[in-house]
Amino acid sequence: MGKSRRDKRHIEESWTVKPLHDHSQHHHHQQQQQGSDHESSSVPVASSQQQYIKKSEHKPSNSQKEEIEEKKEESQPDNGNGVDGVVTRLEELFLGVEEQELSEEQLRINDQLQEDELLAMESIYGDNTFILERQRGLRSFQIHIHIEVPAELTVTAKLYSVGDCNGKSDSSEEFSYSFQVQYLPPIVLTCLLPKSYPSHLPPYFTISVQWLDSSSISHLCSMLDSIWMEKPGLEVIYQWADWLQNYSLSYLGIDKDIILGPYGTKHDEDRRAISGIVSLEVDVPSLRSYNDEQCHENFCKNLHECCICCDEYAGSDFIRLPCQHFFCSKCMKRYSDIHVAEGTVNKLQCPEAKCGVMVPPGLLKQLLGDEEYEHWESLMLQKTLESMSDVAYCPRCETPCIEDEEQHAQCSKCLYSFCTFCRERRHIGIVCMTPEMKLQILEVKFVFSSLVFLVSDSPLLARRIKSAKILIVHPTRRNENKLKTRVLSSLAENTHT
Amino acid sequence: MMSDYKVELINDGMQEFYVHFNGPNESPYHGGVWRIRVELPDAYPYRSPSIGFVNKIYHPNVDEMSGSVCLDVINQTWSPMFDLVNVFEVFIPQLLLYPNPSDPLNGEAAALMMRDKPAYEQRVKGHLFSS
Repeated sequence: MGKSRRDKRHIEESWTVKPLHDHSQHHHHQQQQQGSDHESSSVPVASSQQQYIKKSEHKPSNSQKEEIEEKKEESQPDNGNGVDGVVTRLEELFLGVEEQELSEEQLRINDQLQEDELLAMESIYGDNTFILERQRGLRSFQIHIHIEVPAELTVTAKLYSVGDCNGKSDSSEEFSYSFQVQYLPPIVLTCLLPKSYPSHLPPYFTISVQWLDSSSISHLCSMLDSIWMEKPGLEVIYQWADWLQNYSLSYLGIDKDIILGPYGTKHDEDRRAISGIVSLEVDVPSLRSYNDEQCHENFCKNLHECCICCDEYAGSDFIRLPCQHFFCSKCMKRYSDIHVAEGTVNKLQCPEAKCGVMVPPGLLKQLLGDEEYEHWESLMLQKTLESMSDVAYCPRCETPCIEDEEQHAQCSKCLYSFCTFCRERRHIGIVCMTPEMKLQILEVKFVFSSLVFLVSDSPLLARRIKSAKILIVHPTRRNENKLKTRVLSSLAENTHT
Repeated sequence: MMSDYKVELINDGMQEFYVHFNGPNESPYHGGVWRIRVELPDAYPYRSPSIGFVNKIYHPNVDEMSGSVCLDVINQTWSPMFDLVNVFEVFIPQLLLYPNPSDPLNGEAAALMMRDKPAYEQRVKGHLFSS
């Protein structure tokens, strides 16, 4: 649907308009976020459903999550939508437990403690806390726990040649693909608070992780159980979140490398463990794009020095080229303007010394503005044609032909064999014109023929022909009339517009 | 840059000035001091500065009469990232250490260097004290 299309587009065009485009998007979404924080039902369960349940789609990025938020404000959330909704699982857990009857007093105390705890969590985790709609009158909320990623963490995807999901690394025909990340999608802890929390029962919870398999997550769930058991009767949510944030990776034995998978194992025993891994084709791009987005956001927030002007600006004021080199937008604009004004468009490459990557046209359009961009286009055309000096256009069908050494060309389309000087049928041994005329025509030749080609092809350049006519018809020898007539008549003949 | 090098402004505009440049240590130019004229175009740093030796220098890539320098990073491969510190600490010293005889402005110096390196070095040293 629209969301996955956006996601794909985002991955492909990640350099182009990203800094300028995302800048405005980012602001827009920041406003959205602020607006919805004040409401009690902001990011609902539906978003986590989107994330973990609809496995055929890409995982939504942060900006998409906020788009979902926006929709949610308008319509009622579709609780229970999707097969294994987090809500459904929580319900399952709830229904599986027989809650004790408690006194009014106890209920009141618990209620107050719960409220206080939620406030505390909101103040600690800020934007990463989401209060959900009450279920059966019980409080429900979600915390997105962003783990601090150890330096040089790599994510590895392994493909096994024989069968799948073996997990044994004795096969030498393993293929693995690794990439480094600095950001991982958060661990999502969703809780439903029973009436007898914290006095008697712990919260019902699920843990969702996009990059762990259910077995690993289930270990994490067991750990949360143990933490509760250490001090039953006391609030525990902060301990849980804190442990997940700081100790979960090392608990699972993850130091420098996360191995994606195993895929294909159904490990549904612990209903609280919701794994987001789908397949290599989905997970690898998804994790990479999450990482790239976060890196970019981080870049935009910080100050950086432009190596051209040596001034400092926020990352959002920079433009990044496909070669990954970045410069402040003022410098890029000036750089582009100067080259276009002076006609040196072949030099419009990345300002980084020895890089050589050309500045992409899409970016140039933004930097130069429409009028100057047009100017650039015609300069480029001119330069390209100038470099194609051995191209001649067939007098009959105008197909471009390659000239051989003796001023002869044969059209590959209509098979006309012609002299590239006089554009008549090939005349071996017969001189078609005097040396002086030949010289003049040589000088004028490719300018003329390129323009002829272009005129028939593009009305935009018809304008240029008019000014170029003056250039063409500027003979200085005796045979000027003959030359004039010949050139002008061919020009007329070939101009369809 | 001006703190490490002796610089003379030509006019108040900060666009033209002389820099006192010492010959690089491991080269035959060691010990010599030249005045180099620097002119910064309006479009600097997007266009390269023009560099010229005011005092005579015997070098394959410097025109003896005008003092103009043939250096690819100054002309063709200039990047807006370069600054004058690069020019005086890297590019020009490199040029003096490793002349490029295939693209000479001083043909005689280029030929001498290729033919008889010690004689070329002698000639350079001789020049140091006459300018």
